Amino acid sequence: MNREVKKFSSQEPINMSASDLGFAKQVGKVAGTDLNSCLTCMSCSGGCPMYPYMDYGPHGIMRLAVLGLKKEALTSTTIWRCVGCHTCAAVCPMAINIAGVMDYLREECLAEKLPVGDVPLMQFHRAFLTSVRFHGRASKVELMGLHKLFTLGGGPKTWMQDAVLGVKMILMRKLHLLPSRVSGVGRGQIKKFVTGPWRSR
Amino acid sequence: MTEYLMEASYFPGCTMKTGVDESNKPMQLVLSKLRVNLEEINDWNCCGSSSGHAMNHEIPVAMGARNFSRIPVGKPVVIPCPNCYRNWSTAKHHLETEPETKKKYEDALGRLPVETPILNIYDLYYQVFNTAKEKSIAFEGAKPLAGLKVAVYYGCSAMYPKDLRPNDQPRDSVERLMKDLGAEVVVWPWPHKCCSAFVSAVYPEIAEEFITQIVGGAAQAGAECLVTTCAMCQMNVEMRIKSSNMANPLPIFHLNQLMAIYLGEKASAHQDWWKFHLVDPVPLLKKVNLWD
Repeated sequence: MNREVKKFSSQEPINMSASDLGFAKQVGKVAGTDLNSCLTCMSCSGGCPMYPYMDYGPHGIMRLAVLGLKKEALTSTTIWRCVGCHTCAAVCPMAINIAGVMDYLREECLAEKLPVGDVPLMQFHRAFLTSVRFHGRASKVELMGLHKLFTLGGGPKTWMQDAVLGVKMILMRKLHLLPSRVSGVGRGQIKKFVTGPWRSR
Repeated sequence: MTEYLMEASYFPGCTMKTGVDESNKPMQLVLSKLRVNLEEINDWNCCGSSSGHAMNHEIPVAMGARNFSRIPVGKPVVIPCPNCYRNWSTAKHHLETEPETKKKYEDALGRLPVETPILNIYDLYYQVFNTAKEKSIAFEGAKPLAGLKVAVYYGCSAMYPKDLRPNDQPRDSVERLMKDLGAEVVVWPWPHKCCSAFVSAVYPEIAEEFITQIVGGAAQAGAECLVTTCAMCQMNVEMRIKSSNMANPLPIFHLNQLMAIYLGEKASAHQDWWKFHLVDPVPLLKKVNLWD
């Protein structure tokens, strides 16, 4: 994947007409954090390993949320390319749970049926949770299979990606082929927990 | 009969349960030598992993609540995977601080002993070694890892948001532990750099960039190997060293393996650990006289 040019380096003025000023409060409430304490110091983006591949970076998303520019934040690639390593939250001088904010924005993007900024990564999460719904536990082999199935449109490059290495790891039994499962009753409980708008994407 | 110093519940997590035998087997050996008795939680489930909290903030709490409902009262829970540990902490935090959330899951699942302490495996090792040092207890048959130049690689496993940050562990517990084991710890730039986690499965080229930087940085700082506590990091590093065809790759050990060697296990007697490594660590072990 190529590095992204940052959107906020554009000379265009910010269009605030569609701004939703309650948004920061709503995000902060679910993520358990106060967005208005953000200093825009960029420590989060400085620490973020995925920053070169994002369109706004974590500090940009924080700014968008504070300004209430909901649509820009929810359709960005940034929220999907966040790996959830919590480096941003660990370095933030105001102790804002930035990774938690990203989690909530992804959820909101799916709930509002907006276009997803990075479909293959979203399909990875979907494949993972589908596997967990089946067994109550994750199976790496099944997960990779499902992910290939969900991203069939990606063409031969994605079909073959890591196929040789994956088969090698199964053959050397570094990855077990068969999943480990939770009991029937447990799987019933888990099916109720592991659900959400992601299932229909 | 052996007298145990500690009784604990054990949450293996999906990774340790279906793979990574090369870390699981030495861990069992190490814990029995440290006289810790682990009992696997009956019918545990996935913690939700990175994808759980990525798609729905309730998934880690719900999955954690079900796991809490399975544990016996009065024994701490030991968790070998840093990501599982963080998800358990998230669930514990929400269930402890939000009575209505706890009530909701108690109605669905029965009693939830959320006050039960949860322990990361390397915190457990650190505590055991610290107690041993304070009381000047020597480990029988211990073999110091003299001459092994190691870069400690945490990945994101030491990163927490404010509410979950553990306040009773030093930030460099694994470095201190490695020094106690007699290894030479190098100072290097990337101990906390992300291994790229699931992005590795979707965009290998990004993972290759990260891993080349990490392993290259360790080599430049004079390390001969890396050691990690996270099975996912270990797998990502090895896989992407391979697929990027990096020249002179460094082997990457699981912490459990080095602990086992220190506590007197012969590396040569455990071919079944080393055969799982994509970058063969055996020549290095032979070079520093830790092979047998």
